[in-house]
Amino acid sequence: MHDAVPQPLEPLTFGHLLKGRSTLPKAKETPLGQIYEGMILLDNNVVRADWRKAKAIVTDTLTKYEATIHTARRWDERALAYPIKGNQRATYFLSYFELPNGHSDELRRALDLNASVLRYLFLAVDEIPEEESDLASAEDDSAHTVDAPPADGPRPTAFDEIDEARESERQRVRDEEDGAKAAAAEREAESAEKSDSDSEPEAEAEAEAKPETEAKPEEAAATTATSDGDSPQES
Amino acid sequence: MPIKKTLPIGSNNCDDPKINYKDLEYLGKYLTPQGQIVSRRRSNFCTQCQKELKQAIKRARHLALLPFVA
Repeated sequence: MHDAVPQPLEPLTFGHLLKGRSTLPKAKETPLGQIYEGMILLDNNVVRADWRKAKAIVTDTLTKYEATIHTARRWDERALAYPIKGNQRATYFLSYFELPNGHSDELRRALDLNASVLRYLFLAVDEIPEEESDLASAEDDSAHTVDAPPADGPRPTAFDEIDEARESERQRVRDEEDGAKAAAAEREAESAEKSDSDSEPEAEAEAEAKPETEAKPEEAAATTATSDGDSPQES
Repeated sequence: MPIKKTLPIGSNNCDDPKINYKDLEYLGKYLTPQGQIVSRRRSNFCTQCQKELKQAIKRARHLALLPFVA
């Protein structure tokens, strides 16, 4: 019984937990290290001031940790799906670089502490896409200019939407009233024109008819005289 | 009561080009109106492609390209 020598315990491994689980393929390593695709969100206030400086913030940080930058360009400027550090919009910076093994953590820490970097994503890739070099070289031209990002307005809330709907309803009512007033004014103007055009012939007719009416009292008097004389029935 | 089966998005999706987190138009097809990732039955993907799709959507969400909840 005492001859049984206790054997040392096997080190704990969790391989058995991963046994039946298929994992996504890993990227190949190069002699220098690993090729990474880095997507970095930059604060639009920094980009608005100067795009070259904003680009230099990232590229300097990469080179500080001995990264070899292959391509670096602005991918897009867009509204974020959700606000990050109070920003509604951000500029996406895409870069392909080669980083020596073991420098990844230091680089991540440096980017975490950088205030102009809102968020980043590093992915190990096998190769750099062919079109990337063309796009990056096009941006490196001195003639290439990057448009200033638009202002970072407040995020619309449900209350803003209600206010907007109410305001649009009010505007619609106002437009309808204005249209009705304008139509009424047009109608009045038309009727006034019509009345003017009708009154002119009447005035002419009156002017023509006046001499007749002037002659008429004499005739009327004569007729009354005759009628007075020849009215025995009335008396 | 029979379960109403929803039609898959496309057929034999594994022949599609490589799934990428930057291709938002493509990824958007595999999200519900609430922003959830659709099931394998609905996406018609194989196991591996569904995993790649999930990974790509999660990367896009991390970069605020896609919402977590719409």
